[in-house]
Amino acid sequence: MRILTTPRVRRPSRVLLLVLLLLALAPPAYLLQTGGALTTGYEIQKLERERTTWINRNQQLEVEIARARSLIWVEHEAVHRLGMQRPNQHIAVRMEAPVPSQPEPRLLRRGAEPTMAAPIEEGPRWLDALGAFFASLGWSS
Amino acid sequence: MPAGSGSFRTRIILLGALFMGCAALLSYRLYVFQWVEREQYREKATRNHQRTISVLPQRGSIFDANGNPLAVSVQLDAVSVTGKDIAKDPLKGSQSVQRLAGMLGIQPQDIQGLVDPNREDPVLVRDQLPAALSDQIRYAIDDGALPGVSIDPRPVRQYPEGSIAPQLLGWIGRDRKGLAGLEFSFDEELRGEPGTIETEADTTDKEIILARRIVKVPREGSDIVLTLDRYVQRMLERELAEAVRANKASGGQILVMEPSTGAILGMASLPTYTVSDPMQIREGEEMLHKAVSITNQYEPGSVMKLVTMASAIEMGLVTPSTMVNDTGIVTFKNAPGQPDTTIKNWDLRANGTISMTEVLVRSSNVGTAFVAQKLGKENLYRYLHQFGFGEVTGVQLPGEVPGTMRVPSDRDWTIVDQVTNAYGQGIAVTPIQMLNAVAAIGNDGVLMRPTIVKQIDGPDGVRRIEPQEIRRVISPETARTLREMMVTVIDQPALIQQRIPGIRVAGKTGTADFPTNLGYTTGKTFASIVALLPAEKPRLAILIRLDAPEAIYGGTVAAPVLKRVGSELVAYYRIPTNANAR
Repeated sequence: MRILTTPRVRRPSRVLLLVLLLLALAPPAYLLQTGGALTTGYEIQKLERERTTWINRNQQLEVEIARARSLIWVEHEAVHRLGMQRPNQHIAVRMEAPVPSQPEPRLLRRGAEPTMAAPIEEGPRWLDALGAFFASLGWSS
Repeated sequence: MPAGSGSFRTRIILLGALFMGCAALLSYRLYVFQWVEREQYREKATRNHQRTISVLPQRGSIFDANGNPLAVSVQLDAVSVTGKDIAKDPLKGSQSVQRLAGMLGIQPQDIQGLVDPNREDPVLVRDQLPAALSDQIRYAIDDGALPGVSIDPRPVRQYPEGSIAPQLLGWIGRDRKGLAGLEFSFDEELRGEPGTIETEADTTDKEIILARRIVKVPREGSDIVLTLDRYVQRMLERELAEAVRANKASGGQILVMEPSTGAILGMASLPTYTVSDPMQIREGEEMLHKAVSITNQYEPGSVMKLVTMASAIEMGLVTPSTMVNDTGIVTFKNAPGQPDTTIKNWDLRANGTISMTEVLVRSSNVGTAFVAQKLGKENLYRYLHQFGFGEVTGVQLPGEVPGTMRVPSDRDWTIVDQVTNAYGQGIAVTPIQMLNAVAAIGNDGVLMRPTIVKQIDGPDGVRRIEPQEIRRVISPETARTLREMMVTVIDQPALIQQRIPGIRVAGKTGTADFPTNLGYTTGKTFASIVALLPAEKPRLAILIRLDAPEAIYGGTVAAPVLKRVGSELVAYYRIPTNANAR
């Protein structure tokens, strides 16, 4: 007796479908990644340009500060704005006192990181302030 | 066989042969393109899309001894127009030009004159823009309101202290290379090394940002720290200008040095020029750009008597109390057939029997001629060389000259040269040589190499330039003896008004005639003074010279300047004063 079997229809397997799908997605994914990288690249370039601009501006300001501290400017201000005159006679008084250290007037080099601004010294705590208030009223512990 | 089948086959064969021929031709061309001429095409393609960007390093700054900036480089924006971009859309281009002219406060025609429709590269309209104006233009460009206009930073040399010590600092050219002074001497250190970035451009000539790669990192220029002090320099320039004006002189020099290190603390010179970037050189002012204290020589006159006297004391030939009969005139026999040479004192007076100290006090030429004869020609010239005359000092400035003197081995040298050279005539030296020789007396007999650069602060770290000893010239005892003799010179009654209160100063005045090709010019002199202070252990060596002053003598015109300059320096350097010092 012959067993009749219906012929099997060959369908594409799921794996093949997945491969095809991945192959189809690969170009747009690559494009997406390249596009993203490009955008980031341009962003970085723009930020670098901005950073350079600010560093340049910072240096310009430092030169302005140096100019304002220059002897020629100080003398000009002293003579023309404050009306000072050169002394005819120098009187030197010798004192035994430590020489105050000069602030560092060096300019920032290009690319150097600016130093953080030091926080201003905090005022008296509220308890001290309260004590000072009572003391001013004549109350003391 | 049907008729015509032969011709069909022939046609097929011919067609096949034609195709084969074409294929062979194409293959040959392909071979030529891809193999034979591959390098040429590769190069063309690379040139088409590859770009090399040069990254310029920032030029180093020049600081004074206390770190105050004297010359610094900053990037300031410059605005340019590109003719081809302006001409693309004439209406928008015209509006762009008008807007830019309004912002810059100039006439649109001034910009229009720069626009060349065929030019692809930007043409500079204005550089060194103020920050606010630069921002205004940049925002307008970003908004698309200024087509054809671009803004980019350009390096500019700035001088926060104004034009201070211009002959020392020098200046840079448009190519940012140092062309004079320290900017020239230290150009390699200041300039740094440019970096390189390689990148690629797309078909619209825009940079492909992902293709950017750094081939060489730029090396920033080093900073230079000088021994020069801005306060001292400014004060010297002010006092020199005042002295030149008051004495109706044609110019002058004031140099201040630290004897123990050879460090130059100030060096003022007149006439001079004003430094700027870009440098404006006016016609006929080229000679002003030299650091004349090292490039120009002069006859020092009686100041040289110090060197002669120091040599004779060192050799034990005289002491401060050795006596000489100064008859006011002395005659020397020249070569047979030549007339005798007579040497007289500057004041044409006979001083009688005087000591060696008095020879210096009265600046006796006859007395110095006696010392020169005692020394002999070999010893005199040996000591002149020992003190650094006839050779460059080696200071780090361009164009230094060694000075001029005839020596006994020269054909035209005579005994008169020996005598006149001993009191500073017939010998030419530079102010820096003269000051350095005097500083050696102040440094207990050790000659130092003059230096103007203290430190080089580069990307690789800090390089200090240590004081350099050249040689010992005289013993400490001789140096001390000579300083005491020099104190007597300054303490003489004629200079009583010019003493610096509270401090002992060792010094010597000098007056030398202007030499010309036809002999000496009468009535025109170099009036000078050298000083060491304080005399006991000198911290400062000073040379003051006025050129062609109305009153011709060093004691008359240079000594008052020494008093003013010395008083300022004593106060500034806190040199202890003594109320008992006269």
